Order: sequence, then structure tokens, then C-alpha cells
Amino acid sequence: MKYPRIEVRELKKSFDETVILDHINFKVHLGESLVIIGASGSGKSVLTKCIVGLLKPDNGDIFLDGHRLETNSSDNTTVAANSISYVFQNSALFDSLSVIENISFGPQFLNKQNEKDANEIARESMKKLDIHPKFWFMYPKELSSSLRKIVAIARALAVKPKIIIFDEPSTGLDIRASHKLDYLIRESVKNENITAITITHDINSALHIADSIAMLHEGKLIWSGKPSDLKKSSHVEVRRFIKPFLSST
Amino acid sequence: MVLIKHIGRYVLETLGTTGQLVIFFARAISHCFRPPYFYRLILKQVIDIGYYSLPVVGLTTLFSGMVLALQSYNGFTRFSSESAVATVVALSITRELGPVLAGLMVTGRVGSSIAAELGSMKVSDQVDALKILGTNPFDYLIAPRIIACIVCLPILVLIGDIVGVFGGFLVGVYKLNFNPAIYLYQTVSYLEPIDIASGLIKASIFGLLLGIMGCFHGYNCSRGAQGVGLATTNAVVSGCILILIFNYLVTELFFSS
Repeated sequence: MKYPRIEVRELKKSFDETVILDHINFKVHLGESLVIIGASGSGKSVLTKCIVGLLKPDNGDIFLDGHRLETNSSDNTTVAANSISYVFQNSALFDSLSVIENISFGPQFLNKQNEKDANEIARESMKKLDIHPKFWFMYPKELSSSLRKIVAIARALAVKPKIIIFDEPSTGLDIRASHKLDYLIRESVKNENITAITITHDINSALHIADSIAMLHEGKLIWSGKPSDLKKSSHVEVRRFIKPFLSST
Repeated sequence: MVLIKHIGRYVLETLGTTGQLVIFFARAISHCFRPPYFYRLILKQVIDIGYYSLPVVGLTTLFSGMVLALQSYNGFTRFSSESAVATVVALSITRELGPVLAGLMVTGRVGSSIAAELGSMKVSDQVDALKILGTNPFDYLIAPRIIACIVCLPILVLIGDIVGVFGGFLVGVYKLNFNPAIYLYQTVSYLEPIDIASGLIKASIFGLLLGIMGCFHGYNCSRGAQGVGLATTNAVVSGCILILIFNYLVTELFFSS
């Protein structure tokens, strides 16, 4: 039986009395790129943080290749290690490490490669993403925000994950940089044959990246389907969300 | 009723924070004693915390030793005990002033920087990125800093003791016209190993306290620049207060009889 690469079943998460995620269900298959859209505060980041193990869901299960991920352990630091990479909205590169050290960090400490091999993997990863060698030994504070995002993608890809999660990749970037990043995400997913989950509120970006799109609204998954079906959706909240995009195109 | 509610909330919050601190302390200590050890990071922290604190500690203890010599001379002349100046300076510096002043100064310099650094990492998701890359933040961020604090403080205090006693010597010999040989003899002859050892043990405890408080407040810092600022302030204030409290407790333990 072929399992989906990742399956989320009945996921629920609350903070105090506020329900952030309410019975979320979806599946993503090998090589598929799912984009989750939704307004700020709809629970997108909480959902991905639950998937990667940074937050403990109150209820529900997450399956990776049919195996349930342990989400109830007290120390959930390595719950999804080796399998899921995460590209943070603000890149989250380590300030004290150079670009090459940032990228070789995962291979060295997560994949347990020696320093030399980890550096070699980092170099390959940087070449794949066209990071010019002049940036390799620079520190994150010396890079532009779009380059920091590309380095963050290189760092995430360097650990050869099964799934990669992109949290608002185009936030804070100009249109050109945003398009370049969308292209890189698309190419990375295709070339490395990995599964991608991207969260964004940028419909343009979503349509470029997605094989399928799901929309979160007030913690509920209210719509999912193909990118081409998004504009045809009759759901009130979906129409309201995409209306500014439709009127601008 | 409102007052009781406020008091109740404050008590509950204080208990909650204390509980968090105890759990954090236990986790941090356990990670100091189990691999993996990041030797390069420990060395880097030793340099940052120890080497770069030398000027601050040196200057503080030098001038404290000098002032102590002057003040004790002024006091002791009232009952003709000027000869005790060297001994008083040596005992005060090694037992109390060295460890306490070094502890407070290093808390101001290092405790704040640890809290600010970890706080910035926390709010910029670098701590979460560490977890996702299979590295426990307690191994990578907390343990190296605490180990470095515990190791560096006694070394700093030992150097501070020497510099402080030297400060007293300078004032004693060049200002108060003591005979250098007699001053040195009186410095050494009444000084016992326990005086120095107690100061160094205190220093280790102070190192642990300032490291823990810096790491705890930085690691649990709330979002935004304000959160980092608050974490820094809390790390320094709580570190200093704990140092003063534990200074009394350790002194009581060593010298109460």
C-alpha cells in the first residue's frame, strides 16, 4: 500500500481558551507541492510548527510515510529530525556563523557527517542555488534579505529532507526577488523530488509554486483543490481572500 | 477583592516562574554533564566571558584594594592598629570583595550579553532552527555558556585577588609609607588556604548563578525588542540579587563557627 508522504489527521491546537487549529485533515504526496493560504492569524504557522514538531498539538496525528510522528514527547526537538526541513519567514540563519557554516550545520549535526564532508555538501548546495562564492564566507548580517532566504533554502536542502516547509518565503521581498524565490522553490522541489508545504498569503506566489492549494480560515481548513480551481471557488471566505488579487490582475 | 486578586495572580506568577527556573536549572546542569560537548563553543565562551572580563575585574579589584587600604588605615589609626591593614586588605579581598565584586561586574557584563544574545536568537527563530537541525539548544547554547561561567569566574577572582591585594600594597607602601617587606609578610602570614579557597568556591557558585540567570531570561524571552530588553534587565537584576544572597549563605557555611 502506498502511503502519502505526509498525512495530517484531526489536528487540533489551542492556546489557553483560543482554538487555533480545529480538526485539520490533509495529505500531501511524494513530489507534491502544497500551498496553504490564509489571512494573518488563520493558524498557518501554528500548523506547520505542529508538523515539524516545534509545537505539540492537543489532538490528532501526523503520519510520515505511514508512520505516526511522535508529537507527545516532552522534548520534541528531534521529533521530525532527518525528515522535515523548515525555512523560516525571517530566514533564522545563525548570526555567528558564516554562510557556508550555516549550510554545513545540518549535514554535520543532523546527518552526522564529518566537517569536511559537511562542507562539501554545503558547497554543492550553494552551487545548485547559484550562491556566488564571494558570499560563502560572509555572515548573514552582510547579506540582502533575498539572499538570506536563498541561503536558508540551501541550508534546508542540504540535509536532504523528505519534506520541506516554507514559511512565508516571499514576505518582505520585492516582486523580482519574490519571483526568483518562487522559481527556486519550484525547481528545488522538482529536482530533489521532495514534498513541499508552503504557507503564504501571496496568491501570486501560491499559484506559481503549488500543485495543490488549501485555505485556512480561523483555524479551519475551508477549501482545498488545484490552483486552477481556486478562482472558481464559490466559498465566501475564499472569494473574499482572493478578491484583491483578482482585482489587481 | 481586586487587591486579593492581584496578590493571588502575583503569587501564582512568581510560583510559576520559580518552577520554570528550577526545571531550567536541572536541565541546564544535566546537559553540562552529558555529551555532546561543543568544545569550540566552550573555548569561545571562555574567551568571551573570561578573557574579555579581565580589564573590568582587574580595575574593580585594584581600586577596591586601594580604597580598602586607605579606609582601614584611617579606621585603625583610631585604636593604633595600623599594622593590621595588610591583613585586613588580604582577607577582605580574598574572602569577600574579590568574589562579590567580580561576580557583580561579570553579571553586568556577561549576564546581560548572554540574555541579549539568547533572547535575540529566540525572537529571530534561531533557537527553533537549531532544534530542527537536530541540535538541542541546551547542548549548543546553554551548556557551553554555563560551563564557561563556572570555569572562568574562579580564575577571574584569583587574578582579581592578586590585583586587589597589589592595589592595597601600592597604597600601603607608596601612600601610607609601610615597609614593603613587612606589608607583604603581614599579607601572607595571616592568610590561610581556606580564605582563598572559600572565595574561589563562591566564585564558581556565582558563575553558575549568573550563567543560569542570563541563559534562563534570554531563553525564555518574550517576542520583540522590548522582550529582549526586559530579559537583559531581569538577568542582571536577578543575577546580582542571587549573588548577594548566596554570598551570605556560603559565608555562613564556611565561617559561621
